[in-house]
Amino acid sequence: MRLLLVEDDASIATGIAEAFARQGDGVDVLANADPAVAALSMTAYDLAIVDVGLPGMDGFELVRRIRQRGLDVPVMMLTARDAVQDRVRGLNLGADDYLVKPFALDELIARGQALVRRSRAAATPVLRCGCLQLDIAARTALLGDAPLELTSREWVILEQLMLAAPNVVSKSQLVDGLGQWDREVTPNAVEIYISRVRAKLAAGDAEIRTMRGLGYRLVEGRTPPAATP
Amino acid sequence: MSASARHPRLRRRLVLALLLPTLLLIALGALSEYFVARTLTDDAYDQSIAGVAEGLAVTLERDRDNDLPTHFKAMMRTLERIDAPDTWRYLVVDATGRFVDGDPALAPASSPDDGGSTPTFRSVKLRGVDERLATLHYGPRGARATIIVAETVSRRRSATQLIVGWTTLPSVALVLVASAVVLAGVRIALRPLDEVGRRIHAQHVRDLKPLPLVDTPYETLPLLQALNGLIERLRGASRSQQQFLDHAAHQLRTPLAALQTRIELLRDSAPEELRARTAAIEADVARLSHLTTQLLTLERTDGAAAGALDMQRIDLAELIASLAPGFDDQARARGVQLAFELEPLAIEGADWMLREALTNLVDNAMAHAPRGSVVTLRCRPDRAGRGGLVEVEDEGPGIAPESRERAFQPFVRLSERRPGSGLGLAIVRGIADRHSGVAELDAGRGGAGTVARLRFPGAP
Repeated sequence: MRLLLVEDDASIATGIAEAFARQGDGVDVLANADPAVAALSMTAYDLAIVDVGLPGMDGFELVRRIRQRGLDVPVMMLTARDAVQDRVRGLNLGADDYLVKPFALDELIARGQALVRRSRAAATPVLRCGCLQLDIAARTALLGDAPLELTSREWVILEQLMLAAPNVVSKSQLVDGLGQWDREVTPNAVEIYISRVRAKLAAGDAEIRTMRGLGYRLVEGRTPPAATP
Repeated sequence: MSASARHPRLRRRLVLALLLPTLLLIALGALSEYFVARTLTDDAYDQSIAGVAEGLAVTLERDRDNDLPTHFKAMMRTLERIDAPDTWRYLVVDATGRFVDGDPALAPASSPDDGGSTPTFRSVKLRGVDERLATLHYGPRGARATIIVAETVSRRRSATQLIVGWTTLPSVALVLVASAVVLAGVRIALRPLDEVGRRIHAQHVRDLKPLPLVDTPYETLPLLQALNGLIERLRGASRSQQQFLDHAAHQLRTPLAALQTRIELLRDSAPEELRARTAAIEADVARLSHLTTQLLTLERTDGAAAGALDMQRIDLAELIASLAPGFDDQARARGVQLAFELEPLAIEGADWMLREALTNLVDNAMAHAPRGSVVTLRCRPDRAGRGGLVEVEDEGPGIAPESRERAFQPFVRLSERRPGSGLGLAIVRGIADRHSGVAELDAGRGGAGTVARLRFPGAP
């Protein structure tokens, strides 16, 4: 993917650029906000990473102008300030995510990739979690390269989990989702469907976590075996 | 006693200033009444013994048969029948100086003849008794008889006392009524002052809002305005502290971020023999970053910088649920299972602070939870329906009761083997304070593990 980094601190900028470059991503770096809008209009970037504290026009103003232009590139904001109003303001102006310095590069890359995935998923109705893919329109699922056979109830459950991921879906939401097939779905039935879906995902790297007392969530990667009680 | 000496009571001063002059005036009034009563009774009783003396004189003049003593005695008896007995004595000496009748003991006490025809009065002490004497010198010049009538003062004294007694009674009543009126008046007049005190007291220590000046007595305005000036200055100081912290945060975090970025890149490309060292440096940088973040958070929550907070109604169950995915990621990494027991609990709070507090409590629980154990997050309203509590329970080794309170002090770490800034619980307590709540540590259910608990008062 190709991303634009707007960051005035040279050492942070080179660090981030190098990290993404190692992933095989193309990174353009700008030290101030003025040419950024033009750059984003001319090139189809997959992601913009914008520092809040820029000389001249600040990060907030840049995000405002990006959205004013109608550009829908996902924007990740970086800040060294921790006033929560800043975070709220950034998100209100149209930023998609927010990281406070100092951050781990791994986290920046993971969240940046998540933003890109989300924006692509919005364009094409295919949901991804690890090697699991759900094509909402075609109602087909892939685990790696192999097609995943799901009953309609299992599909509803997995679709809800994927749409919400990495957030939690409550049991009652799942019950409501199943309501179109079964008048009286019991929470126990939900547990049975979950365990069936879990079994079908076992070969892949997407895992359904039980959030005792809250519901379920779908996460990428496998929990090490020792962790499962 | 020393406290009231250092803090003179306005109420006492007012009562004394009002009551003392009033009482003094009333006492003066009573005193003058006593003198008037005494003068009046003295005059009246003097007139009556003067009358007796005149009567004896008339008898003396009319006497032609030399049986004066009989006449006198008859007259005195008559008088005594009318008036009080045993209080009158008399002595009559005729113009030649011859004793006619009566009590000779009165002779030395008589007044000298001044040539007048009216009685003269004297107060004397005879045989240990206070008496009043009327001396009448009667007759033509050169041939004057002396008539003395004496009366003990007891009767006139009791008359005076009677008068004074009855006139003092209203004065005493006046004293009582005046005292009650003054006390009640002072209390009523000072009530608005107490109200102002209550108002200042009701304001949260760190809630730096100016005090309202409406509905406060005129006299308290200078005090309140001075207080508001002080509050305004504190707000200014708080604002500049906040700005300083923002600035410091920026100045500290930017190089830290650069450092962390470089170390991570170094780790990925370091030759095998340097891997362990870069990993150690990376851990050091991570600790430094964590400590910096925690310190700034502690300052922001604990310091006066938190002067103006955006308090809003927050459901803690929803807040915990929204943090759950992040907590679960941590739990996965640590090999810990999460359990949630959440009932709706709405409090008045600052969103970011409550998130910070919960994150710190879960961080602690995760640090102490053994692999494969359960960390439980609870929130529920009070049985009484006022406020409620949040609990984070782990199945770790637990904390000895005597160490629990110490764990809330900044930079106190109970276990040196575990990583941590030693600021987490200090931050949690600061946040609890800002929400008028309580942060405490307890043994887990069944005695094992630790429960970190936040109690919140009810939302208004």
